[in-house]
Amino acid sequence: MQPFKLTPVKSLTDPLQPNLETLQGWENDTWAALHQPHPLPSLLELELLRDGALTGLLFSVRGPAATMGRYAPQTGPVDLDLGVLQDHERYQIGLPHVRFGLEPEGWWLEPLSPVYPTYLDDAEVPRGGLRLTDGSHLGLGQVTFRVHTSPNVARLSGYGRNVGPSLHLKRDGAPCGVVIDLDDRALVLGRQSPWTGPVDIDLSDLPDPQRIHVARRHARVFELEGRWYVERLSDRCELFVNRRQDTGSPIPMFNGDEVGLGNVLFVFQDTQLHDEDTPA
Amino acid sequence: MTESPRPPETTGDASAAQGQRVTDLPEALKQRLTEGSGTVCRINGFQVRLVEELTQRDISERLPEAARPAPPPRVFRVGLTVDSNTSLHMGGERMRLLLVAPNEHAQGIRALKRALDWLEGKPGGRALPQTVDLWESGGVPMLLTSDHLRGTRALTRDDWLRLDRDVSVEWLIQLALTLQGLHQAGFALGQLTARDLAIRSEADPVVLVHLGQLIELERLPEALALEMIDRDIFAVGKLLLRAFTTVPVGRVLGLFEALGYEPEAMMELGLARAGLMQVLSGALGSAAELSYSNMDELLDGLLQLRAEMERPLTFRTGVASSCGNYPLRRTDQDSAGMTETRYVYHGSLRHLGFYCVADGVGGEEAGELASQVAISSALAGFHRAVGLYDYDDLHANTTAFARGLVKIAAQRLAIAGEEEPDVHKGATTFTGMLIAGGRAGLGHIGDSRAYLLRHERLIPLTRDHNLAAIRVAVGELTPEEAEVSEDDQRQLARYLDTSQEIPMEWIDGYDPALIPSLIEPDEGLVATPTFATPAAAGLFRSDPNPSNPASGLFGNTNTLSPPAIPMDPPLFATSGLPPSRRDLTTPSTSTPLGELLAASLPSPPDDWSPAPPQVGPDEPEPDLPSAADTALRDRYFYDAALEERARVGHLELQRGDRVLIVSDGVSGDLTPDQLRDLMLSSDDPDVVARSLTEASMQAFAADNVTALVILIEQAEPNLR
Repeated sequence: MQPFKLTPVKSLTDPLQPNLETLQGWENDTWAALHQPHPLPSLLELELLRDGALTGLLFSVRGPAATMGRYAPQTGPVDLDLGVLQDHERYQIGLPHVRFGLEPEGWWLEPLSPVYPTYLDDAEVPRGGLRLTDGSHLGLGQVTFRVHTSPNVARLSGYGRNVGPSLHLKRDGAPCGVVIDLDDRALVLGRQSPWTGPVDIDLSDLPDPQRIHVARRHARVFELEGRWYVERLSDRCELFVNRRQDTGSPIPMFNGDEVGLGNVLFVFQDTQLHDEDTPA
Repeated sequence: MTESPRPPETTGDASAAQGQRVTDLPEALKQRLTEGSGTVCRINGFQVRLVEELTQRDISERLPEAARPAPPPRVFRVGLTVDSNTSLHMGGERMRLLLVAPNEHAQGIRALKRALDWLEGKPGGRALPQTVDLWESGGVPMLLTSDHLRGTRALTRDDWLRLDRDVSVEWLIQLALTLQGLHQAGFALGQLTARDLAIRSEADPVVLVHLGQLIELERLPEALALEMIDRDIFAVGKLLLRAFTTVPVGRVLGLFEALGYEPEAMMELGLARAGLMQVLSGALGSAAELSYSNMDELLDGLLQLRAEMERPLTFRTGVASSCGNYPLRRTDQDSAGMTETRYVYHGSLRHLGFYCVADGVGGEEAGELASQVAISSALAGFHRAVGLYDYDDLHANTTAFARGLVKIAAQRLAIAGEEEPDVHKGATTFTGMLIAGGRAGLGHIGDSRAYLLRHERLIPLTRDHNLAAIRVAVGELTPEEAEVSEDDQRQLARYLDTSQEIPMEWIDGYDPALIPSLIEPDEGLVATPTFATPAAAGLFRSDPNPSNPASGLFGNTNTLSPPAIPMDPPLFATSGLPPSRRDLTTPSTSTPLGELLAASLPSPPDDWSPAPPQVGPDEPEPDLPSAADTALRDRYFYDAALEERARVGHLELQRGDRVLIVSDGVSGDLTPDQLRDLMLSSDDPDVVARSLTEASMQAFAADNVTALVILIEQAEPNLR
């Protein structure tokens, strides 16, 4: 048996969580901004109910449009990933399940899943969708959320204005302030490890639900003759451009394009591109 | 005595019972506590003064329905008079302690309030009551202290002589911690004797009651202040002496003076024991080079003494695996691994081990590789944890570490899949147990299983992550239908995969259905001292009154109150104890008032009887769900709050336990009764493991079969 530990006395409320990097035997580059709280306020909050009671577990929408559901490589990214729910809660969640859109009159809800039902206050939502109201209950398959809308509308300062080629990380449907500036050299994005080697942009510090779908060497971004391309490197993890699966060859990126490494979404910005460079 | 009207103010009682801090008692309640009538009798060694009689209506309104005795007894508020200077008043549904001091001790009781405030939340504070309120009535200060005093009573000389020595040493460590805290706060007791101690049987072993004599050290000249500290050290030394010899203390001290602290003299007195001689000579001796100068040194000595008395658990393991005898399954995709470290620091033998089974899926070669990579990476991670973390960290967080090891196995598998996608394309289940000392933590994903065999009962520790569980949870199947739906049983909902990592949330600790039996990590060992006696190292049982948050096993550690982790009641018990020792946990009913008081107290938990030291058919059975008799719905248990807590709880192992980790090839083809019988079939763990795999094959298992068996035994102490 163990003698009393006299000093220091550990906190009553803070049981130790082992450092996974210690256990795995190598350290990742730290990039604290990847898991910092989102700087933008939430415009729409969905609080999970379990057994009819609010849980405090919030899924927040911080941009004008967002999808919600489960991520799967076959179907592409979702803004709000419900993959962390329990087994039976995930059982009837679509890939993705619904889309939220902010309109002048308020939030619009559109079901996307052809298989699993969507309910608003116990009534099934028709395919065209319904308007969301504050305090209503949203049911996705076996899961119910309480809807809370907020009048907050904010925008990251500087986002979208006169920036050079760059990738802006999106979380909860809105840029979160993490920016990867692109220059004239090719960059490999992924997660480093002793077996797969270093990468230029290490995304290991992302929160778990996003990180786990990022390959060790996931994608390469490079410039060729004044145009930017993204190329998939991983055989196992998917690359998406504007939520469509990459076909394997380098894909050109245009201002405002959305690039998905697994379920990690970036917005490509290059306001120096001429209008004629942007496809209609 | 006069019957008083129903007291209108009960908010103080109710909120304190819920662990909230009461800062301002209602004036009328203070008045009632102060002016109780003067009937006096003795109960549990205290002078008891009847303060107030409650009416039947009070009882029905104050006690929760479940706690109301039938037929309802008369209930009294009572006060306790300890000596002529200080009074203790106990009252309320959950007892509180009220210290009242006459004028000459007013300064002392205010100093006590400061000391209690200073000690709150510190290790030494656990042996003291917590301050609820301090007020004055007619110049007499009144200090009302916290609850958690159910069953508190005076410690008698007989108690001290009859206590097990390891328990005595444990109590003295608690006492020394308290004194250390008081000294650090600038106070000393100076005149501590055994009569000043009370037993707080539920949560803390010792409570000091003689605090009206608190001495402020800074008011004394330095030499006198040191003298007061020396007296406290001396007092603990005398109590220790009482625990180890029946020879009167005065005679022993006389012999010490005459013979010195020579080994021969100690041997003469039966005190020549490792660790004990050092403490006695340090605490009682006059030789300057040996004497302790502060409570820290005494604590070091007591801890070493305890280490000499320890009986750590030991572990013997066996493992067997086979591809089975199903013609279409040509290779064994299961893997199993175990690694153990034992070392001795400061006289304490420490055991650390990790034991795991993985059941590969995804094709012959891919499945083999997946389970192998998962096992090898988890074992490597365990060795890193042993090398880079303190034993204390692992011991206090066994399940967090076990789950962490599953997570890094998941990471390594995904990397292997990315590195060589054509080779690493399988998946695997994983169930791993991390044992540190007597504690076991679990990390689990998939449908391999872990079981605990205790007192001939097989207790499932994991739940299967398969489609059957999901369909029951959403109401598509009944538990009975799920049990026979092989397709749903076979479809895994979670597993470790080479194509992607899994989130931490998908890794289980224990089955949440076990939560009432498990213990959450505590703040260190001060709060839950563990004992080497087999009786004291048992699984905690479920709370008999689950609606009472203050008495739950999972006390809310965010509150200011001490965590409500009950001291294992078998603290008092080992095999063959006389019945009188068991009576320490209940109030004396030798007086009429005692009977009434006993009737008014909440019933003690059923598990206050001693846990059995050995496996045997006549021993009380643990209050745990067994594999054989658990209701089916319990196997499909979903409760979000319990899910969270099951990820941090740990299991207290005890001598005679047997742990089994198996792939579903074993658990799927043998009944719980067969598993139990085979677990008991031999004392050789390798033989048990082989018996399990062979029996599975005889049952025509269509799967690979793997069994890992751990037998838990106990070492002998250095100090007998």
